[in-house]
Amino acid sequence: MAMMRYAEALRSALREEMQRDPSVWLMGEDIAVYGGVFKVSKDLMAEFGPERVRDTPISEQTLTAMAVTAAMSGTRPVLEIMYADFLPLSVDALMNQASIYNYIWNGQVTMPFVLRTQGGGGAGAGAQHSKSLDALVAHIPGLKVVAPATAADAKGLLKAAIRDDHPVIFLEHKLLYNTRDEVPDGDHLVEIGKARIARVGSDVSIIASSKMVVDALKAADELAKEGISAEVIDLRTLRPLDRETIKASIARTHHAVVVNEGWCFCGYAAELSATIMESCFDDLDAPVERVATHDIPIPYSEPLESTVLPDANKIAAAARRALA
Amino acid sequence: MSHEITLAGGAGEYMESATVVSWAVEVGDPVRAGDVVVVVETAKAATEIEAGRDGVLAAILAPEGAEVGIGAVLGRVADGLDADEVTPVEPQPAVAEPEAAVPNALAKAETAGRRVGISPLARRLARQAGLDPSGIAGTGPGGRIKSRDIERVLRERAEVAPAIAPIVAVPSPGVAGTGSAAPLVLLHGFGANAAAWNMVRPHLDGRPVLTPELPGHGREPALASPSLEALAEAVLGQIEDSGARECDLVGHSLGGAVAAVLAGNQSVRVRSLTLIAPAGLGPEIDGGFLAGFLSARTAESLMPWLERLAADPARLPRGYAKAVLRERERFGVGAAQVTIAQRLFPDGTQAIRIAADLDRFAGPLKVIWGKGDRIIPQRHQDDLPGHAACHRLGGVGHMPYLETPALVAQLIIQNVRSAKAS
Amino acid sequence: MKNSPTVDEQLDMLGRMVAVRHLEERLGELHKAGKTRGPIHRCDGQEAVGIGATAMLDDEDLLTSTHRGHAHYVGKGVGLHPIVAEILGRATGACAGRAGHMLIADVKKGLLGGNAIVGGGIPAATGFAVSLQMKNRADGGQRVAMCIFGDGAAQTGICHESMNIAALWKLPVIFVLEHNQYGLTAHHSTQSSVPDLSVRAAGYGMPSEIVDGNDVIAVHRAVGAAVERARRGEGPSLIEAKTYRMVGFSTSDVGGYQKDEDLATWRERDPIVLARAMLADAVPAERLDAVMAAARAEVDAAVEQALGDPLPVFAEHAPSAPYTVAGA
Repeated sequence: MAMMRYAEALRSALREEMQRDPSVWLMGEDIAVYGGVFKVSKDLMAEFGPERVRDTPISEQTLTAMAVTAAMSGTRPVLEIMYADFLPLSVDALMNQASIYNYIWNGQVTMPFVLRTQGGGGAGAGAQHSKSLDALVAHIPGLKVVAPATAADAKGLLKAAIRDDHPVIFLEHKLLYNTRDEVPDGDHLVEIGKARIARVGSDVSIIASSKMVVDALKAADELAKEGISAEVIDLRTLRPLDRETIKASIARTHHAVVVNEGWCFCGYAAELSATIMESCFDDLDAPVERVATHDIPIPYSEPLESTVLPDANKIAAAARRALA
Repeated sequence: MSHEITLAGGAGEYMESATVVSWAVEVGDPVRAGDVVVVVETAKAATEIEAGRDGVLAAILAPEGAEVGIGAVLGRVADGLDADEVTPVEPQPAVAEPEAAVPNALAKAETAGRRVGISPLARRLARQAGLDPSGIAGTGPGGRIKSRDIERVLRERAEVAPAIAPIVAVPSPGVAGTGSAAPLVLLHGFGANAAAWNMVRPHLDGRPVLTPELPGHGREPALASPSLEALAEAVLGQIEDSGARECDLVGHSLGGAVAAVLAGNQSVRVRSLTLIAPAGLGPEIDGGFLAGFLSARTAESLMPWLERLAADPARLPRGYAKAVLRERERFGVGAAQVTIAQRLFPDGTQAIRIAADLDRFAGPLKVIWGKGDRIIPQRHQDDLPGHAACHRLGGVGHMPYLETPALVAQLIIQNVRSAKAS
Repeated sequence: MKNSPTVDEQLDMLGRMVAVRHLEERLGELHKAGKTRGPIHRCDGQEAVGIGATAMLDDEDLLTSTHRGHAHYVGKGVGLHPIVAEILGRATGACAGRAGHMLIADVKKGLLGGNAIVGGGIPAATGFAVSLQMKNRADGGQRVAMCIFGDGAAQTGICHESMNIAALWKLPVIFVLEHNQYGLTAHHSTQSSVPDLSVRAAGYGMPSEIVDGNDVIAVHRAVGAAVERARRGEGPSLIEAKTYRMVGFSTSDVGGYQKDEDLATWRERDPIVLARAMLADAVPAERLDAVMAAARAEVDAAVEQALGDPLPVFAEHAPSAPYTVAGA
């Protein structure tokens, strides 16, 4: 085990996979010479050269479409989209191209590419650089969507994503890059599609992903002081969703709080809520509580931004409502 | 007493009237609570109205096509179709003025009074325990009944009921509502019933206990084909019906084999497993006892066989033989037990095996055996898996729970506690 | 002349053009008879572009097409029966009935594939070219990617982004602009600030050429030169082939916006008539008749066979399903 920052864990995953497989290459804006605006790909161009670590023009729509077809024709691109807020530019390539070909072409092609991006608020980056667009990509059949909350999962999931033969959208969070935790040594892989119990509890299940797991754990600490035992599920993968872990948890706790940093209306938390209603209805002792971002552009000033974003206090309050 | 069918929860907040679209049942048809009995159209949406209780549709008061107010009674459900309860279909007057004029708040309050707010889990627990939730006070938001309310009612009931049934009395079924999600389940042996545990229960610290009965024993109906698995399935049904989601499992003799199957199948979450002189660990069993026990028709001919069960026959309860014979007479279990013995213990040989089930069970496993057991040899425990704890009790026969109940209870509690710790 | 096709190659192209024309005519009938689903986008009159531009490609070269790609499919070597069966929604179709006529792909033939998001094939071919460039550098191969796209697609942002990246990275890709004058119902003069789109290539430092898109030999020569350049690792080119869409946008087009005199002018320049005339000196008329008749017969046989083929049965698709796990 080694203590590692989230960003370092990602870099170590990229480096190991590029060393292991010469068909893996990276492209994105400012990722090569500068090493990425969040320094995830720092030093990799020096190690692997400018053909495998490519700076690109600011052309997200085309770059995403290129990743799709490059992946069909013998290489494994890892595309960095600097901010999740730019994902709408990628959506045609994801929704009309990547998502369809394996099925529509009757299995003639696979598309082993990874689209890495980072989202999330709390950094005062304003309405075009703070969004969590999990629902936008998790809506699309044929894509896998992962959103690690810890350095260990960041590394293990990125390595698994690069090895996956289907498109994987890899959602990072800007406020997690500097968080540290233990990362297992060696060829550490985390299976896509498997959630993790981040904290065991018996009274209420808090289901979250990415940075919201950090907030959920803080909320669980607060709730524990009140005698409430909260279980925190870190989904890790948003699509395909690990229903079984959710079901098993709610069968024990009978109360659910679903959390997502995206907008509330038609958001990922709504999908979680629907899933729970479909598969855990008879186990529920209270309505599912939903915590998500206000349906409004994310404002700049601190008191405004903190009002609209979910946090530990809002999660704890939701848990209390569920248990009322 | 009849029950009124009303729009109740089917009424929308903005609705003033509804039109009866169709009746799903006719007068005289039986209905069950939750069945759709009538469909009404409210604000362009078809709404299904369910029967509020079991019974028979006694009256249709609002025929198809009728426009009715939100407070209107559409029909009645009664226990039976008594002549005086049958009401012919009579057109209701069209929307009544006062009802249409009821302010929304009042209308909603009225509606809330009829419809029980209850969580899905609480509804399920109530159904399993045979409780009518309509009389239960909910403590959730807006008076919603939550699982804790059902559990409270079940707990109160248990306190009112006699704590311990008289020894050797024919027991009441042991499964109706401990209300506990994780009870201690005690499974009796061949030829016994739930009352077998009466000596042990006072030593169990008042923890919730469930005493299911094997098919063909006590009040449980016999199975046509009583395989070990079928017995286990029947017991599982009783455990699930109690609302238990997990349990600590204790089984004696044949009940021990059933407990092992349940633990091995993981069909219910078994936290700990305590087996007392379990069947299924080897081929030997006292065939003479089985034959004598099953064929005895009088207390005099039965008693010598019963005495084989204990190291010290003086410890057997008074009137034991008579109680066994009375149960056979009243509940007809004799033939069922012969069938079970022929199936599971043919020719005086144990034809059942539980070793694989025990291998699969990873929780705390304790086996208790009397050194003086004359029914199933205690050496059968020599080949148990390594994680099993074995207790060999001196001066005790096949029924340690009768001869040394406090010690057996202590060992059971130890095992239960180790499951909680692990 | 450099990159001129041989007589045999010309005969082959003639046969393919006739097959495509006959295919479009048969599809028109089948559509009217209710045997096909959805709209069909015919390429009558544009056959020389698709057939001439793809004639020099190998199976390892990758082609992206459009929603009007039947000539591209046939030019790239996809069999007539898998094409027809796909359009008739049969289990025996090139994509087992999942794709339909706009999205046909055949990996073995390097067709990847039709694309009904206008402009979608342009970055797709550019992406292929990145992988092919890396593979060529690794094994000394000379694979290229080609994108055939229309004058409508030329107005998209991704066209600009793709051409910039292709030129910047010297990617082995050939952009073949099949300029048929119309984006759906709108004439190109209402969509483009310049009449000749090839002038834009200069903005990317990329060579370009305008060619008569109804002259299959001219298309073959110009595209052939661009393919050779790409194979040599010298980067992308843009070939603008001027042609004309002789039928509506699709089978659901009610028409009325194409001028009769334009249609008459272009009808006189029918690419099949021109291709046959250019072979008249070298090949006896009977042989030309036989080639053309054989092409039509092949289409008829493919239609006949496909009409009798089974319809597909729906099957789950694990990579699309939300609740399955990788590798499970």
